Amino acid sequence: MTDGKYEEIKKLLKDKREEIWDVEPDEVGKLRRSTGTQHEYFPNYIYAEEETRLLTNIYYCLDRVVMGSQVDLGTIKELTSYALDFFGGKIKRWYKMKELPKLMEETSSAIKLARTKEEYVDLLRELWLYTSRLNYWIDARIPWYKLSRTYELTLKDEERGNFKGTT
Amino acid sequence: MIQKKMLIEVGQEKVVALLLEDKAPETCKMIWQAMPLEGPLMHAKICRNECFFITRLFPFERENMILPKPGDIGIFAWRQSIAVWYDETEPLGPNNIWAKIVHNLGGFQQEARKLWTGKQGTRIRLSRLEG
Repeated sequence: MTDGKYEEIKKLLKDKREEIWDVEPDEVGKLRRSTGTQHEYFPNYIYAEEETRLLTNIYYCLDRVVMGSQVDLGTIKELTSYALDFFGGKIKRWYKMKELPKLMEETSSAIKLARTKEEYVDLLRELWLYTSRLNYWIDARIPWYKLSRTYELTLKDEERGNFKGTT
Repeated sequence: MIQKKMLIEVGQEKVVALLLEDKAPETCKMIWQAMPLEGPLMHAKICRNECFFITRLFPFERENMILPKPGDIGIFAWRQSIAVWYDETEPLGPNNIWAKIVHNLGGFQQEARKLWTGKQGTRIRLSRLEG
């Protein structure tokens, strides 16, 4: 039988994910209004987009290693908790995000209670899905085309290579 | 064996794709069972003519790992996302290709291009096309 706390956090992650699946979370609006260096909005926002996307790739690597190798469960749980605490703390301090770091903190505690690789993966995947969806919402607000045109203006002719337009 | 088809509704367009069950049976089975699937479509940022949407699926079968061509539909394990390569492209590597657009690729292309120059998030819906 799984631990009550483990099940509680797994359900929390699932519920939180469903809350943001079709509706942009408040966290994204707050992130858009938060500033970083020189009171600028953009660096803060683009770094947060990159960091949340990176997390989804890290979760993928952890998942693959656990399911595809003989790695010791205790070791992978330690590594995962460390990574969640590290990135969660960074996201909280740097981007002033609250919900994601809170869920990462909860997952960090609960993942230590996983007794099998399957339990570990089940919990990780819930956080992974939440993070993927959150990253989607952050990404969707970035005006990539306009940014690309602006960046292009900073390139010298010889740096432009084979660019022939967008389509 | 009759090849399964799916209807893709994207923006104002309706597109038909064939499932490649002979090449990616487990992936096709998982997605067929999960249909209908829908969500906001995003344009890729690195691969030239690709768009994708996030699902709740965890695809871990590595089947039919080939370089995508225009009209191919794949699935990414690390983002739980279904991707469509809608025009000539420079693939970043092989992908798990499980379906191919066989009708109205042009309509899909129109909607996909608008994602890049306009607003992202056009709704896409994949459903079983039976009968």
